[in-house]
Amino acid sequence: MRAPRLATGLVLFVLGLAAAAPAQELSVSVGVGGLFPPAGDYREIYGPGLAISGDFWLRLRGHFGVAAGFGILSDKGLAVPAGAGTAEYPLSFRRTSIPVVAFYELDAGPVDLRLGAGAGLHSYKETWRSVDLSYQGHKVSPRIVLAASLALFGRISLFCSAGYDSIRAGADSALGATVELGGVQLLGGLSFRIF
Amino acid sequence: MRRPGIFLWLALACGLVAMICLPTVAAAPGGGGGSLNLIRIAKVPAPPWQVLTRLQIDVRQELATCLLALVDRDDLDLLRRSRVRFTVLDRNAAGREFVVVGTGSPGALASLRAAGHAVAVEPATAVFWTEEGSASESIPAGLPHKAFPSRSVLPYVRKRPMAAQAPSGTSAQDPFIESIVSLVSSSNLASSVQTLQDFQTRYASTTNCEAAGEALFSAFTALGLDDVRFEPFTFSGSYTSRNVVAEKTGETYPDDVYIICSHYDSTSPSRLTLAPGADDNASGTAAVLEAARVLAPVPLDFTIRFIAFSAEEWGLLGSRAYAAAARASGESILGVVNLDMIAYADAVPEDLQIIVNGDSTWLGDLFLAAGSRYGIVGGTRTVDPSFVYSDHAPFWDNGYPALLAIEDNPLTNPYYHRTTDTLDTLNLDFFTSATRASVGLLAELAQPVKVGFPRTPVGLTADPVVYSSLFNALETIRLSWTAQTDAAGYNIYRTSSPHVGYVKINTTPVTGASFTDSAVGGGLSYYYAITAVGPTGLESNRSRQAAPAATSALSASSVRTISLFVLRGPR
Repeated sequence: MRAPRLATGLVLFVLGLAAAAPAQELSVSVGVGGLFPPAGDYREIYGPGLAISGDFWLRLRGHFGVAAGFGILSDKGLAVPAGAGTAEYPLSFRRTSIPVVAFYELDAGPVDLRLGAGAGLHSYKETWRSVDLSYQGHKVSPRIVLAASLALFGRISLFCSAGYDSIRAGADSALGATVELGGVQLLGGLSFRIF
Repeated sequence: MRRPGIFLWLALACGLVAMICLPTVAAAPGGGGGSLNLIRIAKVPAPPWQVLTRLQIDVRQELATCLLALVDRDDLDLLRRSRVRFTVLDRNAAGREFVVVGTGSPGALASLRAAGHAVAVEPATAVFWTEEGSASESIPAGLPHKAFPSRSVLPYVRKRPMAAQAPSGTSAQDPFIESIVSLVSSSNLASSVQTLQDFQTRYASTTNCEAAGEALFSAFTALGLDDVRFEPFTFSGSYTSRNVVAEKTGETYPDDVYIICSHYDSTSPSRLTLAPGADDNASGTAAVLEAARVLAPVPLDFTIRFIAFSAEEWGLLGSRAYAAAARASGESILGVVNLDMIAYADAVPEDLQIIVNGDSTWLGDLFLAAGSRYGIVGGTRTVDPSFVYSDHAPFWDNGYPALLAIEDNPLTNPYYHRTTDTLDTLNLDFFTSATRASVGLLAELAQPVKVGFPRTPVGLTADPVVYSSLFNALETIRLSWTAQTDAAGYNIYRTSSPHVGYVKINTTPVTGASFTDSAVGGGLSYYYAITAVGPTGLESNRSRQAAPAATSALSASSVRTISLFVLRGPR
C-alpha cells in the first residue's frame, strides 16, 4: 500500500511544481503495452507481461521538463524445476512502478518527441498460486524513456513510449544476483494536454 | 668451460634430493609412510567423521565410544594436526591379526593378557593380538570375540544420527502371516536341536562340523527351496569350512534379500570332542530351519535367504567371508536377522534382547512389534555398536542393517560354551515364541503374495527436485514407478525413518505413474513406498522402499535457495 501513497504524493508534487514553476505545458498520458524482459530467468519463468502506465508530463521553460507517473506490470508463469521435475507450480508476478524522469522535448511538426532519464521506484510481489509461498520487495532503478505524441484533435494526442528499466533483484533473488526484473516496456495510448 | 661442470653437479644434487624426498611425498596421505599403527580414536564428545573421511582413515572397528583404526606415520601426523584425539595401541601393527574381545566377565582381561597382548578400549571390550600365530586361536575359551574385517568400515559407519523414530508396531496382525507363524512347531525345534547336538561337537575345523553342515544342506534341500548351496571359505591358514545357504526367491523383488541366519558351529573347553552347543547355537539354527520349513511353500515378494554360518566361534569367520563377498558383488541385502542363543530362560517369562546398531534400529523395532503380534514374546531393543560378538557384526561392517536376537545380555546361561549345553537345559516355550517372532518378522518383511489383489508395484524411484521462482524455491521429491494394468490408482506412503512409521500422504488414489511430494525439506531424508489399488479398492503389498531421497544431498545452490525459503517464505 506504500506505492499508491507514494504515487499520489509524487503526482501532487508534480502538480505543485506545475503551479509554482513557470510551467509552459502539462499533459497526462495513459498507455497499455507489454514488458519485454531480456533473456534470462525472468523471461524463462514469465515471458512478456502486460503493462499499464499513466504519467504526467510537465514542460518547464525551454525544452526541459519533468514527468512522473504510475505503472503496473502483471505476469503469470511457472516455477522452473532443477532436474527432471514434471509438476507445475503456477506463479504470478505483479510490479508497481513510480517513474520520475527529466526529459528534453523536441518539436517536430505535429509530433512531439521526448527523451528522458531518471529513476523508478518499484514495488513487486511474486506469489506461488498453489503453494503458500510469496515474496515482496522494493527497488529503485535507473530508467530511460523515449516518448512521442501526435496531435489528433483539440487537446488529445496519440501517444506512444519506449522505456527501459534495469531492475537487478540482486541478493534478494533465489536464482542469483543477476536476475533482471526490468526490460524494454513498449506502450501505446492517448495523451491529454491540461494546459 | 667450467659451466657444464657446475650444471652437472647441480643436476646430480637435485637427483639425489629427489631420490630421498619422492618416496615420502608419494606416500603422503594414508599411503604407507612408515610402520603401521593400531590406534583408538575417541568418539566422544563428537566423532571426527569429516577428518577421518577426508584423510581416508582405515577404520576397522566401530564401538560405542571409540573407533579402532590402522594408520601409518603420515596419517598419525595428519590426525594430530587435525586435533583428532587418539591413542596408539600398537606401533607394529603390520601383518597382525587383531581381534575384538568381550571382557565383561570377571577375570576375562587378565586371562586374555596371559595369552597375548590385550588393551582395554572400553569397559567391557579389549583388542587382542599375539606376536606370533593366530590371535583367534589364542583367545581363552569362553570369551566372545570378533576378528577385524579385511577392509575399512568407515564408508558404512552412520555419521549422522537417525531422524526421530516414528512410532511403530501400529499395524494389525495379519491373519495370513499368523497362519504361517502358527505352523512353527516346538517338537520340530527340539528335534533339530537334538540332531545337531548329536554330532557331539560342531567345532569348525572338525569333521563333525562338516557333517553337521551336510545335514543342514540335506534338510534345506528336502524343503524344496529354490537354491541350496555350500559356500566354502578358508580360515586360520589351512582350515576350510562351509556356510550353508538356502534361498526362497522372491516373485516381485528377486534381487532384494532378507536374511535369517545363525551359526551352526559350537565350542566348549573340550571343543574337539564334545561341544553340544544346544543353546549356542543349535537353537538359532533350528529356528532358521523351522523358518525355512514354514516359509518354503509361501510365494513372497522379496527373497529370503536362510543361512547357517560356520566358524563363528573362531571370530565370526564364516559370516565375515559371506558379508564381505556380498558387499563386493553389490548384493542388495535389505535386512539381516541373526539368531544366536534363543532358547535358554533364566526367568519365566523370558524375553529377548535385540541388539542393533544405529542403521538397524528400524529392524529391531519391527522385530519387537512382530514379537508382540506373533510370538507373544517381550523384548528390549538396545543400540550397541560394541556388541560385535555374533554374525550380525560383519553385516554391520559392510553397511547392511542387521540385528541380533539373543536371550540375555549379558549372558546368564550357566552352560554357555560348556559340555553341558544340551537340549534338556532349554525352555521350549520361550524357544518357540522367539522362533515365531522371527518368522512373523520375516514374513512381514518379505510379504506373502496376496491372491486376488493387485500386484506389488515395482520400479519406484524418489528424486529430489527443486522448483524455483525468482524469489523462492520449493523443495520437492518426485516419485515415479512402473505403471501396471491391474491398478486403478496408487497410494503413496512416506516416512522419515526407514521402514517404520509410514503415513499415507494422498487422499485419493493417484492415477498415472508419478507423484510430486512438496511437503518435504529441512535437510531430512524421506523414504517412500507405494501400493497399487485395484478397481474394487483392494490394496496390494507395499513396494520396495525407494532409496532415501535426502534433501541435504542437493547442490549447494539449491540448498541456498532452500534456506531462503525457510527464512523468507511464506509471507
